[in-house]
Amino acid sequence: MRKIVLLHFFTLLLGMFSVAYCQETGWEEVFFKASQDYQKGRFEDAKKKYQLLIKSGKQNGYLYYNIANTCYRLGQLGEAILYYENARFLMPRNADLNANLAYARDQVQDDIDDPSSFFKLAFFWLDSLSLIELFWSFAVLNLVFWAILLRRIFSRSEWSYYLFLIIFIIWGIIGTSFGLKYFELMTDDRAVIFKKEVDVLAGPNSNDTLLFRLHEGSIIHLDRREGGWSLIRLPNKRGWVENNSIAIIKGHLPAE
Amino acid sequence: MALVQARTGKIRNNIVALLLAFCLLIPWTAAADVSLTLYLGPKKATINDTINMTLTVSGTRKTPPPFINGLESFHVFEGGSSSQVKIINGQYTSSIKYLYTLNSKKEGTFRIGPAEVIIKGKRYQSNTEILDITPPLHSKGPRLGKLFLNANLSSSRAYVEEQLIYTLKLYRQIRVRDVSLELPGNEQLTFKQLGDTNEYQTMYNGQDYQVLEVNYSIIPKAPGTYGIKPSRMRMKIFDSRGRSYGSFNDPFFNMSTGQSRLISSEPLELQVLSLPETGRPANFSGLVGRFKIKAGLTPSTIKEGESATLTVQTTGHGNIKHIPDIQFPGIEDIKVYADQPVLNNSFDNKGQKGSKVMKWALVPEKEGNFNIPSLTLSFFDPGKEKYIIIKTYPLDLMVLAGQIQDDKIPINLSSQDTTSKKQTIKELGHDILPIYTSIKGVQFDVPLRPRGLMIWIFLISPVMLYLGSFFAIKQRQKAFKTAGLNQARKAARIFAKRCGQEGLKANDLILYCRDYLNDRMGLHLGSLTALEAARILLLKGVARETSDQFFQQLKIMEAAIYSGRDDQMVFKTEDLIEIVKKIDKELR
Repeated sequence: MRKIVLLHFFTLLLGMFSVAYCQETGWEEVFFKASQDYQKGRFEDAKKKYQLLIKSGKQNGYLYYNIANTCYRLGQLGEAILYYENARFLMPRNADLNANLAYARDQVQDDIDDPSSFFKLAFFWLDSLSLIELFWSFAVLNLVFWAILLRRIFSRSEWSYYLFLIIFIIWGIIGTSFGLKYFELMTDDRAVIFKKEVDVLAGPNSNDTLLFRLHEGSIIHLDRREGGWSLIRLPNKRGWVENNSIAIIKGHLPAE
Repeated sequence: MALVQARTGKIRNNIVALLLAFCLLIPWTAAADVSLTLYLGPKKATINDTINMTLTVSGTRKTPPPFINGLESFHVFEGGSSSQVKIINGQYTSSIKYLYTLNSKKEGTFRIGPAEVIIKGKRYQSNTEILDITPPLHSKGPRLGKLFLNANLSSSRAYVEEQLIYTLKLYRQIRVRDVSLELPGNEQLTFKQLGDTNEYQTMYNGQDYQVLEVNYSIIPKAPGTYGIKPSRMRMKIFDSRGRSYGSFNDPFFNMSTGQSRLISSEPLELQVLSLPETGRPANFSGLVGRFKIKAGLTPSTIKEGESATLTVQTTGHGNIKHIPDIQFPGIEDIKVYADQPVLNNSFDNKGQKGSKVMKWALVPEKEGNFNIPSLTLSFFDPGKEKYIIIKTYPLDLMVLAGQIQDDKIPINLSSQDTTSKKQTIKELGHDILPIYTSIKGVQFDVPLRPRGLMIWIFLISPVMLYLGSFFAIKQRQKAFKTAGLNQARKAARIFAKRCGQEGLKANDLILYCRDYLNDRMGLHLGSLTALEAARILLLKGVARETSDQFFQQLKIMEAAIYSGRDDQMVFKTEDLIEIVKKIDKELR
């Protein structure tokens, strides 16, 4: 218990220090220095600086992308995939990001086929749009939609009827997309294997039967946690791994 | 409301019209390509067996009766026809299926087909099928009852990677349902089903049986002696023996659920030998079976700078995935570009078969006569129990004088493809793309999800604004209506009160009458004549008698005004009040 309190205290201290450091030096300078470190091959330093920026509250897809690249250069494939996935939440259509993520995924040893759900097939555009993009699209349409309805209280012209029909259909599609994307983000239970090789056991105990092994960078789904163990899920497979061998993708985004 | 209903009706009509047009288009689109497929099940049978034959004519739903060649040695029984239309992913296909049963008159190997049909003056032909008719089976064992499972292996001795056929036959004289199968596979012996199950009738031990046959290909991976455990079939049986249901002696009618039954085949033994070391070619790829190779060069005469395509095709039965990629030896003064090999895999009654097609584009750099050497392929033939090396014939390529266009020579690897073949980009290295160093992109924070205030302003406030306006308007309308009603209710009372004053003149009374009508009926009349008042009252449903009385009263007042006697006349208002009360009552 004491250890946990101490750990929290140091985390808080580090957070405060990072915010203070960024405020003092200016985030632009930190970013510039981090990029310089990267280009000169000082990847550890670059990673620390990029992480400082994120801890200071900066939230931007390019930052996650840069950290992911740095992790990749450091040979931390799992962490690289984790940050690429985080970057995808914010800029899902970025070509460089998608190319690097595909390349990093290609390096993963395990071939895990995540079957597409019906909604993903029906709303195929969801993967290329971020939640905030969908929100703004829906927000604008929502204003137009209710404005037309409001107008129709006073005057029921024919053109406003047809316009209402068209806007209603688009409003429905975009609204459903926004809802699904929001749901997808809220229920995203994906996690990345962090260690080079992880034993997946039949139960939350190191004496339990070894079911199969997973390798760094594989993306799995987290069902629940018990003590120091996590129950993970793959298509047609389940098993327990130690908590420190996986990292939840969504958990690495700064709290809003 | 009526306008909306009319519009909805219009939209509905349009949708119905579209659907109708869609349905009408189906037969037209479905008749686009006609093709015939002849299918036999099984392809090997005894002379006592009944063979099912299906002819499928795709691309149409109506054809004249087809003619099938090669049926002279068979008794043919027509089993009817069925047609169907399929819509899959927006693709419409229609077909008609003709069913036949055949009984052979003699033993031997027969080529059946092609089937022919003439549609709109055009003749269409099907594929042909080979049917082996063998002598009848004579079981040495005892009579096996009404239901038994028979397993058979094409050979009890085989080489590693040799293809064997495992045949399972369910013989039955009773009705069965929900048949499931458990195969005795292991790591070294894997079963691969060959085609669909066949169902036919046969004579076994002098008794008629309905047979369900299924064939599997087995390719042993390691030497040794393997005991193939019995295959097991689980099913529900409907045996009517010992029961009597009169004319309804059929499981279909008695609604019985049947009895579960598990039956097993006999165990088998398989001896798998290693491939012999003696005579093994140096480049042997592990190919086992029977194969043929052939090569072709098109065109065989070209001009300098043009390209010719060398095609090598290996076909046969066996473990076709082991057909190696043949290495084309370099020829001086000829540039060689290899195409991606194409492997085709299918099954027939002899097991797994297939072909591998390899193509090279040959681009000579100078004129002359070039010799394309033989290309070789080695495989182990289990029938002959030795390694076989097969070769293509050497080919000649004649190159005439022409203009060399340096590296821009069009390479045509596919004979059907007339467009120039572009070279695929070769990946020489792999790495991630660089980081972002520009501050521009990082300048603005991008929220992951909308925050509370954003949701309130853009999503909830428009709804609230709309609902607020809607209810406000409704409230206003309601208030107007209520005020009007109140006024109408009080109109007679106000009129009576006003008329109760002393010394009222005609002009005052006409004004009071006008106000009464305005209040009572929600009107906005500026002046009122007796005739107008009577007409309004009649229109609003007041009885003619009452409206006439009111008219008479007003007429008297008008006369007093227009004759200038208004100042001298004093009216008694009791009658007028009574009439107004009457009007009020009738209006209610």
